[in-house]
Amino acid sequence: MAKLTNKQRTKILLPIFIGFLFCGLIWSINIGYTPLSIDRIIATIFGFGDAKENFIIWDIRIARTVVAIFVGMCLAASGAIMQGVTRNPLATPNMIGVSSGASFGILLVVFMYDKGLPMLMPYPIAAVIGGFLVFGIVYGLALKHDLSPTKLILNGIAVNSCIGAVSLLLTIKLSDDAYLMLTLSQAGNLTFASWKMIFIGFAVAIPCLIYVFYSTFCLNILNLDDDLAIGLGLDLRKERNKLLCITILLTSVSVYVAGTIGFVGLIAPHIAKRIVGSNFKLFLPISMCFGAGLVMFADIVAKILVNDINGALYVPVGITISILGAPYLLYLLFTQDR
Amino acid sequence: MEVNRRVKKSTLTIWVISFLTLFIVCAFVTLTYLAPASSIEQVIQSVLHYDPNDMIHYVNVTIKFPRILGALLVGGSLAVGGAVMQGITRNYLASPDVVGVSSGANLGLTIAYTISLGTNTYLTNLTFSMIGAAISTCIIFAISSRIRGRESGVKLLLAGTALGTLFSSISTAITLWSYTEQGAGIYLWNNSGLLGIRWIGIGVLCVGLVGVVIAFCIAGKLTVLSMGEETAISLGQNVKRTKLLGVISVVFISASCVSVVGNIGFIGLIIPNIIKMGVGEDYRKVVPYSALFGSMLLIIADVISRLINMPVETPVGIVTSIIGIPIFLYLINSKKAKGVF
Repeated sequence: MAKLTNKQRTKILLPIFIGFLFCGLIWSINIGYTPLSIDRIIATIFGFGDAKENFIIWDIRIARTVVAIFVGMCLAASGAIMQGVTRNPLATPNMIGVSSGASFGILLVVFMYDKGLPMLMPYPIAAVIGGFLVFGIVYGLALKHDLSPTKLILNGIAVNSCIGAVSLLLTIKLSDDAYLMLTLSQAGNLTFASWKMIFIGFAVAIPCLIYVFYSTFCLNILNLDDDLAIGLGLDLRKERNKLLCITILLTSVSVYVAGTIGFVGLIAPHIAKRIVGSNFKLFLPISMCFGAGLVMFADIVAKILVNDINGALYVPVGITISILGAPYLLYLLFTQDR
Repeated sequence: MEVNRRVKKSTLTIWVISFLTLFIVCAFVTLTYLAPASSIEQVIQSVLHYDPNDMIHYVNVTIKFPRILGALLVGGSLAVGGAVMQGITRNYLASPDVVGVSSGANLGLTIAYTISLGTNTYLTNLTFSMIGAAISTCIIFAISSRIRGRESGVKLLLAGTALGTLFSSISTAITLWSYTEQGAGIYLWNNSGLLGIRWIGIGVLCVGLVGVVIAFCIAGKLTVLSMGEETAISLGQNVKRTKLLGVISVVFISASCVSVVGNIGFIGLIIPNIIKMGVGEDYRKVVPYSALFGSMLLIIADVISRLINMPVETPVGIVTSIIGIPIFLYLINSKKAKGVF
């Protein structure tokens, strides 16, 4: 095959990836705890199912798949942006504690009300506030060292484990039901999302994503060099802060919808960058597709494994992705140093 | 110089005395104040005239004494394990629980639990934990010898975090798969902390003491090694053997501690670092003092963990983490870190 430019490659790959995603979507709808024949599934999708089928297909399977795609896209986008803006290939919202901050915010709300809150609104707000607070702490600490990349990560690790300890302290005091619900849903689980949650998530994420695509030019420059950016008349700090805010919003919302799912924000951009180069216009869509596919297929794997073996319970997708993603991070660390 | 040394010696004496006082206070609180409360006479009676039918005597002898002793042993060994790991990797943030060795031991434990369907003994647990710890130590070692350069410290830490995440994710997946009574059993085991220690657990911890003894033996060599591998080799030291012994010591220590009390974080990280601030990089001093102060920290943390949320016990790992993380933050942001990262 003749050498393709990155642009041509993207043009070819993007439809292929979207096709893959579509296949995965169908597959993902097809499998589940209750066996349903394909013609019943199709009939239900077009509105001819009975109440039970409607519930299974729309409220469980399709909702779950939509969440997978949504979360994957948000996490991959925010990872890509944060890696670009901080020029640190390891700085993802998950690594520097934004995800755990958001999930801590949710935990606090649950803790204060314990037995189920009637309204949905406090959760996403708490998630966003938590995400911003933790990011502020980690960023502030690293700022003292001129944002040294390693300091950012180290402080992230420390703050992450701090939040982990405090969260554990709080969860002990929860009632059993709230505890089970929370640990399962916050371990990166797609089964707890309802359509209401999905809509709230989309309402926040879509404007953010539109803004990101609108400012890919800034991203490209920020990724390159400070001096160049200033020379081109870019208000460096303002743009950087805006984009970082967007990443935190995207991450917090995805934590609200599906709990903490690690490694997607790290892996998807890395692989996308290897395939199509580091022009954000090209690699951002690819990495978002990749993230969505990763979460969806990990979820399918989790579903298949559990259906065959035990039936009753499920492995949270966050765990499947960690098992896939941690070796990749190790591999990256291992090979980077030549 | 002479004056300086004398000052140091007297401060050390003060530390040792305060350690002993604290130990006595904590043991006193555990024995007499914490439920079921017993008077001092009863404690003495339960040693001298042990009567298994007396509830207080029984609890004192089978639960409270092993618990205090266990806190001493676990805290001391974990701190020594941290010191050894830091010595052989020459990275002051490397400690078994930070770089994923404890998670490896934990995974081994989970597998032992799942395979044997809950009928396992301490010995199988210990064996499987050791295999897990050994595998993760080997991986961490392979990585740490491979990464070089300015950011090697942070990369080791990242690799350790990734490894820890990997192992604990696999553990969680296994736990969820076998979600029956064993699942709950694994969870309880990993989080029981010092609550579950009985005399047999003390026996397992004594096996772990092999690691501590090895650490004491190689302490002098660790000092040389911490100056740099080339220096150590040119001084005629068998670096490979020192490292191997260090690894064996770490595996023994983390496996025995994890299989008895589960994961207790940060002791191995903070204690040796604090000690090093006091006595410098001489491991012949760092190792014994780590043992001393590690036991002190764990005993205090244990008492705190039982007092925070009475009558429910908070896992002691949470307390040590909450004490340890600010120190961790200080360490990575301090001037000392400048040369390393």
